[in-house]
Amino acid sequence: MTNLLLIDAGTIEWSRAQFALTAIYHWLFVPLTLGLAVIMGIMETCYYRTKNNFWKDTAKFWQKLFGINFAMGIATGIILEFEFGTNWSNYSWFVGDIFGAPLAVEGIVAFFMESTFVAVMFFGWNKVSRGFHLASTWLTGLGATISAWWILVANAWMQHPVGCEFNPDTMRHEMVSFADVALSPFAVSKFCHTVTSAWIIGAVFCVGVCCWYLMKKRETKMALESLKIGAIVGLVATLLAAATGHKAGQDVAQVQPMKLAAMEALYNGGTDVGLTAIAWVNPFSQPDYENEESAPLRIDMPYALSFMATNDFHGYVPGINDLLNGYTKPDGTREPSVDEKIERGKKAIAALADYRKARQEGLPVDSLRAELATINENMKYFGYGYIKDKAQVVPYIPINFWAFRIMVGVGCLLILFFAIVLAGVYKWPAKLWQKNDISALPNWHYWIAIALIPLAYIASESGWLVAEFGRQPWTIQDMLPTWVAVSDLHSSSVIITFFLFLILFTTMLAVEISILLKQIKKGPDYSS
Amino acid sequence: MTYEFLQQYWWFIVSLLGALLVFLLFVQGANSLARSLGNTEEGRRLVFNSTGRKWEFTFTTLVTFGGAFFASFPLFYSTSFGGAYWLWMIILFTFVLQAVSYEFQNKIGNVLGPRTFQFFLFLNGIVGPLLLGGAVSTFFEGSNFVVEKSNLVNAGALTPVISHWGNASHGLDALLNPWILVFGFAVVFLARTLGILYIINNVADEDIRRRGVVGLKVNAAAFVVLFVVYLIHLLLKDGFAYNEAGIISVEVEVSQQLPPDVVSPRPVVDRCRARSLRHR
Ligand code: HEM
Repeated sequence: MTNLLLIDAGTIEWSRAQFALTAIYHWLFVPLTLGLAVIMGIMETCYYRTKNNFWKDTAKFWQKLFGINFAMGIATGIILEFEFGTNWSNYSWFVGDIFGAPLAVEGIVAFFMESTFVAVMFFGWNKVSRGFHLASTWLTGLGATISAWWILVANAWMQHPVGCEFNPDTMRHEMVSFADVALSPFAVSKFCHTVTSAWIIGAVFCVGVCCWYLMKKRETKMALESLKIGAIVGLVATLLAAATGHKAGQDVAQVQPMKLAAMEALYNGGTDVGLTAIAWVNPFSQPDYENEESAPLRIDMPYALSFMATNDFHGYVPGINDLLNGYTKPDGTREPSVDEKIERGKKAIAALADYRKARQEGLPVDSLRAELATINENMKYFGYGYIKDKAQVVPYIPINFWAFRIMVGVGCLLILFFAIVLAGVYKWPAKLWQKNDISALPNWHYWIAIALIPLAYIASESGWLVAEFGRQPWTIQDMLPTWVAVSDLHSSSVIITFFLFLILFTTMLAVEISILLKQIKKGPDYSS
Repeated sequence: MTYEFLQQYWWFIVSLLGALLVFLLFVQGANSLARSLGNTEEGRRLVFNSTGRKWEFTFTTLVTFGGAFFASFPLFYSTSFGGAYWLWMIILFTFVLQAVSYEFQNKIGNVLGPRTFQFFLFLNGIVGPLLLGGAVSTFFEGSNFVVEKSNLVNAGALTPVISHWGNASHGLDALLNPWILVFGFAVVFLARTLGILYIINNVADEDIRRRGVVGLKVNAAAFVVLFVVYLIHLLLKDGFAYNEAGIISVEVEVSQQLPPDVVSPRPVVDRCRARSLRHR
C-alpha cells in the first residue's frame, strides 16, 4: 500500500509550516479582538451609566477599530479548522472523536453568538435600547472568549490528552469523558493565561493609539479618558498574565517536562535547580546538550526553577539528558528512558498489528486477550513506536529558550509601563507629576508607547512559539508524532497553498493596517 | 443510545446544517448577480450592503458544518478534506476573500480599491456554491480513494497514513465528471434564485427590483431543469452497497445478476476501494 502514497518528506515540513503560518496570522488578529472587547465594553458601560454622549462616541470609535480587525480573525480562523482535515487527515481520523467535539461546540454556540451580537453592535445604535446594545457589546466579547475557551480546550488536549481510550477495532481514540476533556485543569490554566495575555494586547493598542493623539495634540479628552481605561486594563491584565503564566509553567513541568527543559535550556537536571535568567544559546543551531554540562554564560536565580516546577526550593527537575536516559523520581518510581519507551511503543504497535490480522481472519476477541493486554499495557508509549532515534524527541531548544525569555521579559516591561502610565493619568505621586502633564510630555515618551504595540505582539506570538515548538515532535503528546499525523499529499500541493496563503494574508494584513491607520487619523465622529 | 442511532442522529444534524447552508447561500447568489442587478455603482453598493448584513450567518454555518462533520464523521472528514485537497482549499480561499472583502471594500485606506473587493465577492458568489455543490455531489457519484487503517501499524513507513486519494489531482478530478458539474450548477442557480428573492424583498429600489424579477425567471428555470435532470440521473444510476467484509461495490441490477459462484459483484476498483469503512 505504501508505494501508492503521494507523500514525501517535504510534505511534513511544509504542512507544519503552513499550519504555523495560519496560526501565527490568526493570532495577530484574535488577541486584539479579545482585548478591545473588554475595553469597549467598559466604555459603553460608562455611557450606559452616565448617558453622556462623549462615552458613546468614544465607544463607537473603538468599536470601529474592533470591526476592522474582527473580520480578519474570523477569516483566518476558518482556515485553521479546515486544515486539520486537509493537511492533518491521519490526525483527524485518529482523534476526531475527541478533538472534533470542542471544535463543533465552538462553531455552534460561540460563533453564532458572536456573529449575531456583532451585527447588533454595529448596526443597532439608535435601533435597539441602550441596555440591549450594551448587552450585545459585552456578549460579542463573551462569545469571542467562549470561542477561545473551546479552541484552547482542543489545544490543551493535544498537549496533555485526557478523557479518552484507544479502541483497537476502530483504530482510533474515543472519548470516554467529555467533562474530563472540557474541564481539564491544563485547559483551564491555558485559557486563563491566553485570555489575560490577549487583554494586554488590547490595552497596549489602546494606550498606544491614545498616545499618538496626545502627541498630535488632538482628541485630547477622548485620548485621556481612554488612556485611563487602557492602563487599568493593562496593569490588571499583565499582573494576571504573570500569575497565570506561572501556573502554566507549573503545568508544563508536570505534564511536558521536555518542554520545560527546552525552555530553560536545562541539559542536566537535579535538585535545587536555578531559573536561567540569561545564557548564551545560539539561536541558529541545536546545542550539544549531550556533552555540554549547561548552556554557556548561564546566570540563574538560585532555586527558582525547582520552586516554580515543584513548589519546593529543593525539588527535583529533570533535564534533557535525564529525560532521554531515564531517571528516578523523588517518590522512588523510575521514569523509563526514551529508548525503553520506543521499545514499548513498538510492542504496542506490533501487538495491534497482530490483533487486527487475527480479527480480519475472523478470530473472536476472546481469543486475543494476550494481544489486547500487550496493547493496553504499552499504549501510554504508543507514539514512541514511531520514533526512530531518541534525538527526535528533543524540541528545538533555541526557539523555546529565546521565545520564553522574550515573552516574560516583555511581560515584566509592560507591568512597569502600565504602572507608570497609570501613575501619570492619576498624577500620583503628586509631586512628581506637578510639572509634567501626561498630555504634554516630550514626544519620545509617546513614541515609546507606540513602539510597545509591536513588541507586545511579538511577546504574544512568542508565547505560542513556546507552547507549540516545545511539544515537538508531538502532534499529540506521546501519542502521535507529526509525521504520523499528516495527509497523503505531495509536497508541491502544500507548497503552493503555503505561498497562496502567505500572499493572501500578507496583503490583507497590509490592507488592514492601512485602514486602521486611516481610521485612527480620521479620529472619532462626535455626535453633536 | 446505540452507535447506530447516534450515526443516524448525526447524519440528520449534518444534513440539516447542509440544508441551512444552501439556504444561506443566497448571499453568494446575490453577490454573483450584483453587476446585473445594480448596473450603476450606487446599485451595486446597495446589493453588497444588503448581503453584507447577512454574510456572517452563511460563514458561521459553513464553519459549523465543517466542525460537525469533523466531530461526527471523522473518517469522512479526514478522507475527503485531506484527499480532495484542492477542492476544499479553493472553497476556503474564496470564502476567506469574501469575509475580508465585506469589511474592507468601502473603508478609507483600502489600498486595493473597492473594485477589487467587489470582484472577490463576485468570484466567491460563483465558485463557492459551484464547488460546495460539487463536493456534496461526490456523495452520490463516489470518489476515488482508499482507506486502509492497518497502515497505522506500519511503523516503518515514511508515514503510516490511512486515507489515500486515488490520483494526484486531489479533488479537481471531480470537476471532470459532468454529473458533478450539473449538480454544482444547480446549486449555483438555486443560490442566485434565493439571492434575487432576498434582494427584491430587502432593497427598496425600483430599478433593481425590476431587473430582479426578470433574472428570477431565468435563474429559477435553470435551477429546476438542472435539478430535475440530476434527480432523474440519481434515480436511474447504479447504487453502491457493502458486503459483510465491508467491501464497497456497485450493486448490480437484478436482471444482470449472475449466480454468485460464477461472478462476484463487480468491485469498483476504479471508483472506490474504501475497505473496512464500516468499522463497527
Ligand atoms: C510575565 C510572565 C509570564 C510567564 C511566567 C508566562 C509563562 C508562560 C508559559 C509557561 C507558557 C507555556 C504554556 C504551555 O506551553 O502550555 C506561556 C504561553 C503563552 N504566553 Fe506567557 N507568560 C508570561 C507573560 C506573557 C505575556 C506578557 C504574554 C502576551 C503579551 C504572554 C502570552 C502567552 C501566549 C499567547 C501563550 C501561548 C498560549 C498558552 O500556551 O497558554 N505571556 N506563557
